[in-house]
Amino acid sequence: MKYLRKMSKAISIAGAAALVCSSVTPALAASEEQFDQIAQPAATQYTSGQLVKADGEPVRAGVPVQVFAWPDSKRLAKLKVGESFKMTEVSSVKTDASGKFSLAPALREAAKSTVPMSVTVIATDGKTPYQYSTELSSASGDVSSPALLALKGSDPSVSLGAGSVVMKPSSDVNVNIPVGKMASTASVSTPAAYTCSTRLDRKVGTSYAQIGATFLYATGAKAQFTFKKGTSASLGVASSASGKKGTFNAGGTTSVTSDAEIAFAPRTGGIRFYKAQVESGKFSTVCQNMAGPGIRVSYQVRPIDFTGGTQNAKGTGFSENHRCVPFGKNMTFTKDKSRAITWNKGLTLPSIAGITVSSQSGFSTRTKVVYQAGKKNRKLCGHLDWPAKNAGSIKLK
Amino acid sequence: MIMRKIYSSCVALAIVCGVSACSGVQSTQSGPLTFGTPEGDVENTFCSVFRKQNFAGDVASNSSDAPLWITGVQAVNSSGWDARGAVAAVVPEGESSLMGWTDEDLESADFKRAAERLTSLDRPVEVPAGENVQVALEGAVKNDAEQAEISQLKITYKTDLKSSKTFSVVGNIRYEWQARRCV
Repeated sequence: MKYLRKMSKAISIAGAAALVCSSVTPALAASEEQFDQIAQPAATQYTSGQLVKADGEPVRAGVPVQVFAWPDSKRLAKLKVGESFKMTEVSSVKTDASGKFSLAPALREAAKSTVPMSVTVIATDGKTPYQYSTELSSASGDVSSPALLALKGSDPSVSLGAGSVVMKPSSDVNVNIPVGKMASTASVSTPAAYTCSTRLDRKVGTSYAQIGATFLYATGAKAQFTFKKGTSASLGVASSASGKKGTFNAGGTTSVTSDAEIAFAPRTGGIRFYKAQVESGKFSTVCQNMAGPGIRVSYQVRPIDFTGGTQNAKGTGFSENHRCVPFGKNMTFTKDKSRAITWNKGLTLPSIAGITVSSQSGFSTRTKVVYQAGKKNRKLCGHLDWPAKNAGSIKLK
Repeated sequence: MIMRKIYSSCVALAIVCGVSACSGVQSTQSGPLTFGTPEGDVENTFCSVFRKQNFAGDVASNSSDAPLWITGVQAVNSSGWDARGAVAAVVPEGESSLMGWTDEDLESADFKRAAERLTSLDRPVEVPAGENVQVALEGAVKNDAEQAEISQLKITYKTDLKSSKTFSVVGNIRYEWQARRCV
């Protein structure tokens, strides 16, 4: 496939989804990292989307919306530099009169997989491109209860309405309109669909993604964090129209699955942040539609695979605004199967992307944290709720 | 989300009882009493050691604008464990709740203060709008059991004491008792 890199226009985006951030302990020692997390909202099922123009008006009816799946992280990890693959179309639907489209067919496909499916949603209303990368998953594995998860609001082209993903015109694509095929709302009443392929241009290095934390404020107690085999982490993606250094912006998330169980050493005190090393690649995606509005090129830097490397760092604690339960001596508390915390700045992508994106572990399978009280009575405190609920982080004191 | 909650609830209840046995009980995680977690798929394990008295506890929230009444707490899928009675009490603002405890823990002031609030569910316990309620089930480990387990707690409640309509919700904590603490 020939890669065309002509820029025809860049569309500025207005509006950004609000992030809810926790309070942060202000004074930090030089080697400490601050506790910085997004309060994780309750999971919401998004079964539809909506295309909204830059002026806020919905697109017209009949605009094709395609959802393309990326290969799973195992296949991506085996991809050699220069190799390309055809993106798998998992659904193709059209907008209704209010610009809305159904995600149900794509969610049904995602529900067949035990790990979240990384997808790119692509649409055009004849001249304006819409694009967003995210993950689709059914945590229960039941096709009747699909969930669209891990939409962080980190991409300004996407916001979340009530049960619907609202996509505004995308800034991260180049559009090349072939001569004689100038598209317009008037001339292209029903734009034809795209076929897309993606190439791994090069591997761009490794960095560490934050995947968990333990908070021990007592001696004689223990805490251990384990990143279990098969755990999928939701990691941020960077997108760019040109692919050049310094032009990347946050562009959604992708799912990376751990092939190995990573057990960090038990801790007997202090606050530790746990990190796993991931390798990232630069990808270029070409979507072709010779019958319609031309060829689009976009670039992404996205995490490909966990290398097995680990790191832990001394961190700061969270505020006293939490809920505690007495935790008796010799008791053990294990939290697993949990959707873990979204770390707002959990991953700094390699320098070509040069941006910090979010990370979230325990996305749909298992990440485990164990607290043992030891020989004294303690307290277990959750950051956002009781420890056994959607607590986010948990401290023992 | 609603479908998932209902699905989770139905799966859990299907394990506990057949459809006929549950007739009259509306099983939903999306009623006015919030238990478990909104996601419905979070599971925690609480482990303790065998004692004379063993309690499995959790907290639920009345998320509605009207009071409701807790009428019962049951064990879902228990093994090696005999229930002796259910207790409940509204958790005062700023106070701790209990997740699980034994008679030995009651020597601690924190445990004792929270446990002393609890009253038997021989009579329904009222939960005002917006309040949290501590529920717990007392039981004993069977003599010949090497370990005991409750996979979940289930709360039954009413929004109108005069009505025969009963709701139920299931929690998300799995409780284990072992001679040696479990990890």
